[in-house]
Amino acid sequence: MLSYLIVLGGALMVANLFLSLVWSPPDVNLTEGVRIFYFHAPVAWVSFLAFFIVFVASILYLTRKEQRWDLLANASAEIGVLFATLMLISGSLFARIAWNVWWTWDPRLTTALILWFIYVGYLMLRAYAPQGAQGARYAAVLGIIGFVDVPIVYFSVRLRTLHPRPIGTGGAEADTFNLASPEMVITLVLSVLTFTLLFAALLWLRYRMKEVEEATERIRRDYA
Amino acid sequence: MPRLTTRFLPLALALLAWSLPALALAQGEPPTGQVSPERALPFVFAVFAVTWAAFFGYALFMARRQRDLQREVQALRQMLEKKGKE
Repeated sequence: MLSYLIVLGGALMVANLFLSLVWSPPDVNLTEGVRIFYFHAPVAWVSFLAFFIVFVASILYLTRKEQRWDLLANASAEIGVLFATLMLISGSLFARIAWNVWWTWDPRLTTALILWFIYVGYLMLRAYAPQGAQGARYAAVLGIIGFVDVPIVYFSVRLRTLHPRPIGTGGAEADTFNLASPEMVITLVLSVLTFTLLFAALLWLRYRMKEVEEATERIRRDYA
Repeated sequence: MPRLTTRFLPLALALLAWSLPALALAQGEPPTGQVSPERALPFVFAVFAVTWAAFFGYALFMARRQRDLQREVQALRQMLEKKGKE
């Protein structure tokens, strides 16, 4: 299953590179700069998805006390932070082209940065907190509370902001650019699909690895 | 200290250090009209380079971790065999 996922993801990634770098036309205002969007929006979506999985898995861990949910939350948070970091970096580069600044204390950017700090904090908590059930409980609580910021990030574009609104929710005047052609929309959809598959493959691998880590740790504890 | 912390703390501090001068110098007027392709392309290249570097870096981290785990499983197997003989 995992090998199929990796092969499919690899093929989609090659297709995605071709579509986003060659096939998709340049934007009227941002010209070639719009190609950043085909990476920035999918990594942002995947980071939200990863944090949603942390949220759900944390609730399931607290209610059912099954360790697999804690391992899933831990693995998803780690990959979510990777994608959120890429979201911030690509967003900063995109902002430099679109707004001529690397960073501005815009509601969308600020709430996204807070989200990143929350989940870096989550990973640090996992590293510092006591091992075992107590540490897992602390992390689950942070995983649930931290997710509150995700809808705030999403809806922050409804406030006074420079950031373009999510596709289909804003008028043309509200956006820095619009996905004007079907080629752009197809490229974006494929890009989202590709990065979602990549996330699924990474999550699967990391989760299985955490299971083995946990099992070896348990055996070592029992037989030491 | 746990390995995760030693890995992420420098990353967080480096990002913060990177962002502070950028934040201080960040304010400017939005460009008016069309962005020239010559200006945009280095940024596109930077995004692609950073994205792929990050994915390869993470894949490398997982490969190393997997190798460590294989060693650990091997050590445990030997330990259990020794205990079994005793």
